[in-house]
Amino acid sequence: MGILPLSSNDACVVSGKLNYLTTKALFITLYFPLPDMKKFNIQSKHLHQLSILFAGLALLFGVFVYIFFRTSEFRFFHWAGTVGLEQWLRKARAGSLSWSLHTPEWFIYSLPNGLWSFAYAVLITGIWLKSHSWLKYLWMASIPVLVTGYELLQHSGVVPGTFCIADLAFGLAGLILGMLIVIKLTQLFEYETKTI
Amino acid sequence: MKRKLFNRPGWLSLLSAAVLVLFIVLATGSVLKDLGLFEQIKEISVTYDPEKDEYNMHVILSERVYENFLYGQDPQTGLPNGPALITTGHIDLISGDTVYYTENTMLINGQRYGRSTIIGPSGIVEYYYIGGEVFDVDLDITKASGFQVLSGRYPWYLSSISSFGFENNYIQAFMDTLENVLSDMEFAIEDFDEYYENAMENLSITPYDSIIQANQAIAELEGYFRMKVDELRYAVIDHLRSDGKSTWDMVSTTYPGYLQLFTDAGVSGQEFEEFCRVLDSTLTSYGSLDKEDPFFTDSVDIRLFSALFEIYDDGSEKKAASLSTPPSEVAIAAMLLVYFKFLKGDILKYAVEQAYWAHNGIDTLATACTSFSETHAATDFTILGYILRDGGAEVTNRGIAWGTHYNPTIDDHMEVSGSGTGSFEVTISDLTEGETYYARSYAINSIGTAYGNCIQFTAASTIGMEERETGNHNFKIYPNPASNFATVAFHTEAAERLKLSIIDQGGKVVKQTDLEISSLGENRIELDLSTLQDGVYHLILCGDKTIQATRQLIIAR
Repeated sequence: MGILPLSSNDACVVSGKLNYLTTKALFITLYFPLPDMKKFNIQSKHLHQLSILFAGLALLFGVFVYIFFRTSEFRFFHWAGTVGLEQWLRKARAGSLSWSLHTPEWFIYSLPNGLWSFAYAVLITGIWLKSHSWLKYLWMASIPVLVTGYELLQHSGVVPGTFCIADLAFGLAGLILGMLIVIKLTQLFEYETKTI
Repeated sequence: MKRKLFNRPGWLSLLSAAVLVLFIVLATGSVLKDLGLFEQIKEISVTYDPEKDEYNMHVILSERVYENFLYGQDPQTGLPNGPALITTGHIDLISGDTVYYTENTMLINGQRYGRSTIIGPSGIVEYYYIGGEVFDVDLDITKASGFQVLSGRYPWYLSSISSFGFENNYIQAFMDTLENVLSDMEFAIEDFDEYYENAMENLSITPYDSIIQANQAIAELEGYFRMKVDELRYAVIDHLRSDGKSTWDMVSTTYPGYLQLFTDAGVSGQEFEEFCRVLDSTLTSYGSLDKEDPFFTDSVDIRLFSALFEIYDDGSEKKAASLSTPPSEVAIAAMLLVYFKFLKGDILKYAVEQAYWAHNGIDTLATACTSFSETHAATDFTILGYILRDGGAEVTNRGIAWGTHYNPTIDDHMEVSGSGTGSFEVTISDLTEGETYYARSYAINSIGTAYGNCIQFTAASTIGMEERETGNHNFKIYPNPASNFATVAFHTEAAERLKLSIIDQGGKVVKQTDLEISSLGENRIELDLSTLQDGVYHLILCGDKTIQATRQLIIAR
């Protein structure tokens, strides 16, 4: 995009508009109407809290899927064991046995990847969206790079794990959704300030 | 101001880096820890107490679970033989206390025989085993689940899994789920092993994976003992203990059944002999072994498998021009035979298999066991046979097969004793003095002939000291023939000083014990015979100046 020879205020506005337009163009097929936030009394100051809430919920849900549905040979089970949580985890996992065999594979093996990609995208986008520093582009680029790069490195065997196209798809969906939600929430903020 | 401070790119980068680290930690934690086949057991150590002639094997199964075995060892086979004390301990994660289960049992070649008492937090439980299986358990196999088979016939294995902290209902849920997964699959009978592994693989990526790993550790430990019951291994031990006899000599004379396996597979006697020659040569290259070393058989085990791998690695280079099967191919076949025995250590799978066969109306071979009776004569032996299960088809013929080589078949000599399941006795008479014999029970049903474990005994010379008793001691020794331990019982009518001596056929005192009897009544002395070779001895109870009683003692293992 480059840096336009404008005043800093104007540059912020222009680059912000460019970001918005680019993003809107990119995600135009995923457009959904903005709800009337006044009805829900959601204000701009809640933006960061909402972002953290979305990211936290996504992270936790992904962790729960691992705990209740996945093998205990993952490293964080060993970490949990070192702090004395193994017995509690085992009891909790015993309760999920009856429904784990009937849960779709994508829910167990691909959804956590999508949720964590979503959480990462929400947090990074929330941190950097309104910034005008060049570092913003570096960090925003890290979202798709890390999400897709990790899967591709699994495919090439550089990092341990099994490459799965479903994991990649869920990861991409997660990062797109995460960025989209933060952008939309930020638009609400801009809308709110304009209407004031 | 504060808002601007926190909007600075530096702070935002720091915040982003923290987020990145969090996700890197998550990614690291979601990496599988890969365990190989032989990595379930964390550590094994064995110590030997020469004063008690006892081995102490300590096995660490996981960070919180261990098993400790205190046992005597058969010097010929290196397998646990005689009374054993097995302690299983695990650290309770909630209380932090160590919970113990202690089992007093009798082991014969590593398998439980006779009465076994388990003392645990829930109290005392007793079982009566034959060949590692509860004898005469009341179980309708056609309706029993795999868990019921495991808990009914192999409670020792179940308690080992429980020691990892799994309650019985959790183990039952796992086994029921496993059987459900298997029942959803359609496969031919001969493909059971393959589909069983598929079912386990499916369950290994569910929360059942921890119990699967616990079972793998127990199965691996049991497999180590089962690997030792191998004729090639026995032949190599005999070769290394003998003066001048090769492995081929031992296989061809004492273990011809093992040779027959290879002959049936297309390996000629000449090719197997060449393999034995290469094996002996490789073993010799490792240096000599001290035959009196209490870890002699363990050293043989390590050398044997090293030699087999070395021969296999050499490939076809040592193939003689006239032989079509190189020693390397024989070596890999020998290793596979041992590996299949190792796999038999998975008793949980065996229990599921038994239930599967029964539910599907599939008949199998019967299950038989062999042991000595307590009564004997020098050249007459009474052998006990047990037909534990008929395999779904009626046992039409049962008895004892015996001969002068290991694992005799009904084509050698047989003594028939009725039909059906249960126990029976057979007396083999008029044996040749000094000859070593082997015997095992057999059971014939519509599927075929099943054999029990093979026992060995030597027909003794009848020339020697007569049994007599001058005092009123009611002197007895049992069991006789004995293996590694025997009990001497006698009556005394006053406090006296006695001496108990064991004398071999050459008149040499091989063991002597001074007894200080403090009062009248019945006395029982436990004798440790594990250091004595098989054969006939004389047990003499002496007073200060006179021989009070003598008895003939036969040690046969």
